[in-house]
Amino acid sequence: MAVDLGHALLRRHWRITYLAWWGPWALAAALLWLCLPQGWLWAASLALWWLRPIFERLPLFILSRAVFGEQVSVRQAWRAWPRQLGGWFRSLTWWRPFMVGRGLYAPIWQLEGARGAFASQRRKVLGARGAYGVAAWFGVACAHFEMVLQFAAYGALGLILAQPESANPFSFLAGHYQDSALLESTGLLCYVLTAGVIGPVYTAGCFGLYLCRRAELEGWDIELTLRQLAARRRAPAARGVGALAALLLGVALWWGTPTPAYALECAPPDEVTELRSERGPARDAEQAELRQQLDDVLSSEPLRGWTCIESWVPKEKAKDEDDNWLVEWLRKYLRSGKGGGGVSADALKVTLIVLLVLVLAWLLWRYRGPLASALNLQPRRAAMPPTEVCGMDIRPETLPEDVPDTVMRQWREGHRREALALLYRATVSRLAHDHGIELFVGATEGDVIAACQRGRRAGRLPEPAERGCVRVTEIWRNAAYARRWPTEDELSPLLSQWRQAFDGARP
Amino acid sequence: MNPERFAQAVEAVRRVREQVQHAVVGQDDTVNTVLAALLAGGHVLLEGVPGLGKTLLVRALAKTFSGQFSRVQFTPDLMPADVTGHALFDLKNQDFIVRHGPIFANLILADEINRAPAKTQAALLEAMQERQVTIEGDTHALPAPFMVLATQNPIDQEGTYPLPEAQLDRFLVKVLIDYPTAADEVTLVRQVTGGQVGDALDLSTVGTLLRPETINALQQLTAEVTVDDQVLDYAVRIVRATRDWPGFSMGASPRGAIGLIRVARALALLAERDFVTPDEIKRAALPVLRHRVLLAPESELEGLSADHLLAGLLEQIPAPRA
Repeated sequence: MAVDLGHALLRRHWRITYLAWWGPWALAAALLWLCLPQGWLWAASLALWWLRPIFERLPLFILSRAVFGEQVSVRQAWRAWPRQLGGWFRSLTWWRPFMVGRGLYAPIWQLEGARGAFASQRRKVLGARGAYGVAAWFGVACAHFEMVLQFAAYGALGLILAQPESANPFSFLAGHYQDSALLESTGLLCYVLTAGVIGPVYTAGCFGLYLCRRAELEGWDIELTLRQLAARRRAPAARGVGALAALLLGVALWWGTPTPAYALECAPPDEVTELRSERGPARDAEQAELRQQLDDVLSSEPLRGWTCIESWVPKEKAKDEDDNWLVEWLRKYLRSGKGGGGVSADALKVTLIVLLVLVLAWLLWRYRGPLASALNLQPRRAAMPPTEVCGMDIRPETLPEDVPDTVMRQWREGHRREALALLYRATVSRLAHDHGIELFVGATEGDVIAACQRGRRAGRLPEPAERGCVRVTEIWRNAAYARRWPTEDELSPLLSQWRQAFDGARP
Repeated sequence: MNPERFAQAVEAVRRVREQVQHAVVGQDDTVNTVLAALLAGGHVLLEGVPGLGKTLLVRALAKTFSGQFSRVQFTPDLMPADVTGHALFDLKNQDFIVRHGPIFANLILADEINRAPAKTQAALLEAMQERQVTIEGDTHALPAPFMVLATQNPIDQEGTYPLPEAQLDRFLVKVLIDYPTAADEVTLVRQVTGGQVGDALDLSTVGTLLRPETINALQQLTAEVTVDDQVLDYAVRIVRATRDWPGFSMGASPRGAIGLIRVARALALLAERDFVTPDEIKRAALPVLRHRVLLAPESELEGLSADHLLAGLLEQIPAPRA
């Protein structure tokens, strides 16, 4: 339903959205097509795929305004685009372009302006309850749909490009165009077309999911907003802009589309002409007919051994088809290895394996934290004992050297409450710091006893210490909350027991 | 406080608790809190799914003292007069006579209170607060001790009238009854099915131990349990913290702090102590405060409950300083 909502939004604003997308998208594709040499056009598709998170910000900008009834023109969207590119580098690094559900999180960065820990928290909240899973599956579905469309585009082009006698529209892929610029350009064109159709669909669907999640979290009245939006939408739309965009798109497509192959009829290369001319005149009509039949067969595309390219080819490329320095270097390297003078292919294989292992090791080291937490391997850090419990400072350094002596001295001086408070504070401090009893800031006397009992059961607290804690707590409670003081005869043996229980094992 | 009198009170309360716990198996905390509410002179809102022994608990408690017990099943057509009573014209004497409603009892079980319309709920809640009922212009005092135990069901909310927050405040505690442990459930089933026809609640083992006057005396004694200023301050700090605590849209009122101290006093008596410690305040906090705070919408959306947030709050509020 959420994805449908996004698509409904896109249908209402498809002209502006697609126009805004196609402007920079087609421009980038054209630039890459022009700049990259033949044989490298696959890199153009890869670059465009990598840059898609940046292009997705345009439809998101338009749709996010449209939700609140603000009609953004294509020009405004393009002008705002550079401002929407904050953090573009981050969005293109590491795993982010591979995140199929990134569309759900894009509004957090772009629309909410959330950064750092807050953004991470927002992602957690918005992605909870299976929302990210839905976005990811939607991304997977879009990728598959895009692939199907791409095949369909290939098929459609194949119907035109393949041999008339070939029943398989994809036969041209394996045919003699394999190395041609036409095939590469076709691939790029198919990708640009399909990604240009699916890109805004994916963004709108994910934006619908984002809206739905926020509506769920914040109780938005989406329906009301959309009704208002629909009312505003009835206002005259920028139809002229749409027409212009369609025209521009048409021109761009026409410009980017190579001339169909079946229409190409080039003259045969010189060597073929020379070969034919060297044959001399035919002996008789039968030989001439045979030669004609042979020429006809040999001039058919699969057999003629030359291709006809009627498109722009970079000069360097035209000069040397195999001018790939890496391939050339490797070839020389391996050739020299065979002769025994250089490094063998096996050594190169070992080097590559070592490099791979090093990269893997570095990745494991770099992401050791997230990996450990994902695999639940991180050792549980021992909880630091609190510095304050029951409103008392329980840091050991705040206690006197000899607690029982100080308690007794204060008691005899008439500071009974202070003396018992010190005794209880020292008890809690010893429990937390010497015996590792886990206490929290708001722990009451009962909580301390319960923690002692748990520690005793876990074997962390010896029995005398537990008994001492219970006895001290009882005396402390009576004194603190009922003003019932123990006699000195009760206090003296208690202090001796305390010393044995808590200071006996101390150095 | 007279130690002898206190010891007698402790003994009486201990015996009552034993009797009720014998009948209501596996609900020791609930029994403790309900007894604390009785000693504190407050009313109880019990919430739990059907079949957990809510009615049994109230009947067992009523049987431990020779007081009057009445039960009102709240339904959508229940009228205020059905609860409080009404005046009838006696043809023989040519005069109006007042027929008291079921509210004139010591212990009242208002079953499924959220099924009755707001008017009837308001009549009951007003009587709970005022401890008197006005019929035809005449004021009739309710018997003492007077305690209402209202139940409501967390499921099957269709056609119910949820109690407004302001009226929930009238209940001293809200007790959530949960399922008993496996061992307790085995004991319970054995106890109910052993040589008995049907599933009627067997209260023959519960003896009558006290008179209503004794309950009044126990309530008076509870009110005299010592509360140190530091403990009082702790209770107030907890209640005040609910007003600013993230996750609550509305905190507890001063009545919450009063309720905390009242229940803590009763819990101290049940713990056989004549003074209140911070532990009693902490134990009283959830039942006393859970229905007096209002969750913020984002907390509800995140699936948090008042108990979750209150537990977090209690962990962070420092107990009294020495």
